[in-house]
Amino acid sequence: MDRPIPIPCAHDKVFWEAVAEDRLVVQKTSNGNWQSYPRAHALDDPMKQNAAPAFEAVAGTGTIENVSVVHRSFYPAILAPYAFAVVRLDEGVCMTCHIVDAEPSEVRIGDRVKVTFIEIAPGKKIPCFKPIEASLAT
Amino acid sequence: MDMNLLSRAAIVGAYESPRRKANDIHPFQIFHEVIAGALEHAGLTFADVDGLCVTAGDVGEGGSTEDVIEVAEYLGISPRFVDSTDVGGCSAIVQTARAAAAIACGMADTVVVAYAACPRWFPLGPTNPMSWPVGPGASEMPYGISSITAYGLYAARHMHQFGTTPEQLASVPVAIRANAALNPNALMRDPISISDVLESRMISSPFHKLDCCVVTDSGGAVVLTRRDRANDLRKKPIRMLGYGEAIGCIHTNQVADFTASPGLQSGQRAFNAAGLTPVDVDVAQFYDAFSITPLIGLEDLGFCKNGEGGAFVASGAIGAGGSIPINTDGGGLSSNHPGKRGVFVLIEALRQLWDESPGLQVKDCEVSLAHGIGGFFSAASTMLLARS
Repeated sequence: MDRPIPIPCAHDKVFWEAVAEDRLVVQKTSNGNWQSYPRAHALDDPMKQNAAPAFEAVAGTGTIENVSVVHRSFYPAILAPYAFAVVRLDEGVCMTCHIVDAEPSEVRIGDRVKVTFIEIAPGKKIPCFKPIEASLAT
Repeated sequence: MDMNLLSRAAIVGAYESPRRKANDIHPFQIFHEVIAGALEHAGLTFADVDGLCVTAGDVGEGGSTEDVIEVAEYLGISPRFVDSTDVGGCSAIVQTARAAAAIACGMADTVVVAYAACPRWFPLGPTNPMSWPVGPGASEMPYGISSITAYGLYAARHMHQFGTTPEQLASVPVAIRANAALNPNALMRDPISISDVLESRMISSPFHKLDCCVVTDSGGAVVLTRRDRANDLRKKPIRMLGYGEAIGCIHTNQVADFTASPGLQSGQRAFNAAGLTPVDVDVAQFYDAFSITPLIGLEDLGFCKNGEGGAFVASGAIGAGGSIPINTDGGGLSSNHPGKRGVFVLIEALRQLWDESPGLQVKDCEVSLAHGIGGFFSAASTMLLARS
């Protein structure tokens, strides 16, 4: 396969529908805890005694928790070098992503980033992150 | 695990295939070779075997789903106990503990734990992914994860948080290559320097090519039997003093701490069960798919403090004459790594106790440690061993 394309299913359909519209949503449990990736149950309520977790809009900003620059890609449609990163959203949960609109070798742990949406196949987008310019960061 | 379970079984034989490139050889042929080799080593035959533990369901291992049945069918045996627990690279060590428990409970008398794979030539592929881009894996697979990148994240975070340097990381493959130079079966035997590692091609930062393991076609097996039957066999029986296992996460976005691993828990469980501490260990085999893997393993198990692994591995402690020689056969970084090298980690830990290491034999070795890792620091198993 040229690259893996995400295929939505019942429990994460809302997430991928939002991504298709350039919006980032994350699940929040009835106890007020954020959780990601999406699940059909709340991690803090595994017996489903309360309402199911609901998708809520998030700021889409975060900090790079970790990054590795991939120089040898195993997928023909993912061109190296690329910055493979884990971003911790300001809400506290982590997302795997690419850091785009940046020179991969200059991406650093601790950098502030903002979500952006990249089309990887016709009609198929995935959330990625890009640097927040220092001058714009507060 | 209850010490009584471990003490009712003993490891009585082991064999590592000398093969490193096995073009056209089906992995099941190697399964047969290594099981026969381990039985011969123990002074047993296939007629004695009533338990079989394998993972063979990954591409390169030759099997499909229900893989343990397919391997048993090929071998021509009908064991009354089987286990195909698959937690990645450390599966064979995990299965060895399962085998000991099965023997203690009377489910089997003599169990073979085997592994073989031929990733260099196997005509189907690529290797199975850790997950699919549907469900949990949709959060990660679209971004092109590989084991090199996943472990690279652990190394990158260690460097960021503790100031670990590329030179310190490189001292791991350099030390292990020195052991491989002594092992006639090791794939790579020419000594290397820190600068050789740093000047090799960058694959996924911070890993250069020589921070990464070799890829081989090979296999290995160990044999366990009832403790009360072990004394009249060919080799001195090996006792399992303590064992622990733990699992963590498969997806990088779920990792709580990139500077530790489930090895922290598996190590504590093994040392507690044995009533030992790291100073009691004479020689240790650490899973070494990448330079960071033994470094974090040494920290997790308490051979040095969390964050101090870089200075520790660069100090000479892990080499010949050091306080804790590791990967004495050349490990996965230089000798043998078909995909799940936990069986070789265990075999070399055993060979040290039998005075049969093909690489750096530690003199008067009494307590030997095997520490396996699976997935992306996703599973860990630790076993402490001694001669009976």
